Amino acid sequence: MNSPLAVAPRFSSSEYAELRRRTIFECGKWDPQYEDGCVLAEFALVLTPEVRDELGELAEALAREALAAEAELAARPELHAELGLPRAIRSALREARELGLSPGVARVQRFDFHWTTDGWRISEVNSDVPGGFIEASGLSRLAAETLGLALAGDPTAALADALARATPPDGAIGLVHATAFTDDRQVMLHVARALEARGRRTCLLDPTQLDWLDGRASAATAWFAGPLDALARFFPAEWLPNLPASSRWRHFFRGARTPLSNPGASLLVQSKRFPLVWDELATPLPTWRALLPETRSPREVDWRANDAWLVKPALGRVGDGIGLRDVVAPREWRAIARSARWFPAHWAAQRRFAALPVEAGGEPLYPCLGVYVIDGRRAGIYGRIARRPLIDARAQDIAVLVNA
Amino acid sequence: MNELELYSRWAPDDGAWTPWVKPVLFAAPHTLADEEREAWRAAAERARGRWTPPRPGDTALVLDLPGPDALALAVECAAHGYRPVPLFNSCLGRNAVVPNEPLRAGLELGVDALAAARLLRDAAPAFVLDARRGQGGPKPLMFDNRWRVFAQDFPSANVLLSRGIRSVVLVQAGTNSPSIDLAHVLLRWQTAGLSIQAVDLASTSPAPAPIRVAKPAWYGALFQRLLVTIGLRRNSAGGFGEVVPDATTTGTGFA
Repeated sequence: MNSPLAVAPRFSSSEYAELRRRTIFECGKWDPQYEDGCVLAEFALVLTPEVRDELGELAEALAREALAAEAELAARPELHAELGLPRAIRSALREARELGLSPGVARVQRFDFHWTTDGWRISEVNSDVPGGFIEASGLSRLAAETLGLALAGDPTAALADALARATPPDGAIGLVHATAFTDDRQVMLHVARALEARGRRTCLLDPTQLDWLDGRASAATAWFAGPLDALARFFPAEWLPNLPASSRWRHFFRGARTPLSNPGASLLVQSKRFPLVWDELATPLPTWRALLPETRSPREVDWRANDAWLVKPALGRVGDGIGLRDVVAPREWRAIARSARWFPAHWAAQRRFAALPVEAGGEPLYPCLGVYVIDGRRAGIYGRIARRPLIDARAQDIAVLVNA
Repeated sequence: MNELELYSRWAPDDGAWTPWVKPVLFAAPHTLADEEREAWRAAAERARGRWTPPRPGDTALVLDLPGPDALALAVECAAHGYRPVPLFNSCLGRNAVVPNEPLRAGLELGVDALAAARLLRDAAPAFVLDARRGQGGPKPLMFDNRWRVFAQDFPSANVLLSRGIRSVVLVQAGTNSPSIDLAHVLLRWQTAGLSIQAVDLASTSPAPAPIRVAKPAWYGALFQRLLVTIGLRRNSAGGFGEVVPDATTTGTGFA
């Protein structure tokens, strides 16, 4: 099967050194190294305009279906336990019946595509707090300049435009994240710069530094105090219940009047167990059914003996805890298998697809294309590539470009 | 000197340990204040003659001292042939829990002494940490910029061994035991065959002595990094050290 992905020539050593430096200092990427390897790939992936458009159309269809399913699921609390959501979040979502769901704005979704023996398949949607903005907008722009190719889109600009549209010209936007974690702060600073370029004021803060009055958020920090016109959240929704009740974190799910990007309800379709409730929904999900491999409860299939299945945590992120028996280390597999066996309600079993590698420098490498959709429109691609068919923290970030 | 020039001085293109230098503090624009110059002079003075590292060869250093004292000692060690590798993974900011301005100033003010050391490109590394990284707890209105180290912030034991490093000396003040986050790193190295020694600069005659790094909580556990990360994240609203109960540990919080 012919791959729709081409690999650009490897950057020269001086080009690569320059790319790394500029990605750090111009784009604000502070984590270019992971143990012994640079996380920036030494080459770029190149798509034809037709492939870019095909992925964009598929992602937009997935996004439409996901948002419709999210709205339906929000009104169906009896299905939330099946999704593996923590009890506190289920409780907050139930309260939405009286208080109303917290409103969404600048809705960001990222669908992770893989080229397989059966064509394009997706492994998941990141509908809660998708990352990759620095790489998809910044690294790709620098690589495009170096190689004379076109960007596949600019998700940072699209997000900033969407937030700017949703707020008044001198509006203030709170960028909510775990401030202690520089991996997250770098993303928030990157987005903040784009917002400030559009005339918006920004406040970087953690979720406990929000005051909620009558559903409206304001910042209470030493560097910014006052009302906020919108919140952009980079703090995973499933971790919000770990905050003290005094933080009033439930406003991220219900009862807020300040619009949120994204609202907590976005977690409903991010759960890897989302397919387990499809048959209960009126929302048609034809694109999801076509692109996401069959997904079942770990109780229903013999994933331990049958390599045609993998397991993944319902609310896992960045490839953590994905059980591919012949890919992960034996010790890791044993730990994953034990956890999935003891707590199957928090895991999903998914039929494996056979990802096809691209070849770079004589080495087979497995790419993953995270296609952003922001407010319903395609908005760029975050590329990652790995030596094994598993995209996790060891995967490299790779620029995704388009032939003019 | 702009941010990039400063980084290039500490992380030269051809430096063997350059990939591990954390760029966070370098990337922060900063204007030196007179009191920062004075504080750096004092830190450099304290570091002078405080401790002489082993003759460079097959030893790497991990300097885990408070703030500018770690950086000042790293510059001293550079004069003995060790390449400082700053691993400060934390931001500057108003009303911050960990005051990083003295470190940022030290990076700028220590650069001439670093250049004077004329280090070889493959000089043995002195990894530099700030022992205050997990100190205290944020109060309302504060910027929580505390941080932790993870195994992936350092070279693996394979890389160290392949470059001729056989032992690691942990340099601290007031203790010989590594902090919990650092223990995760050191134990991996120890398991791979590196000899770990520790020196307590607060002792009367500081000299490296072998230690056995004990297994820290959650060592090698599924989601270990995630657990620590969540601990750190959640505690941006309430204190380090907790582990979030999840489906892989207990059922609490997930019914």
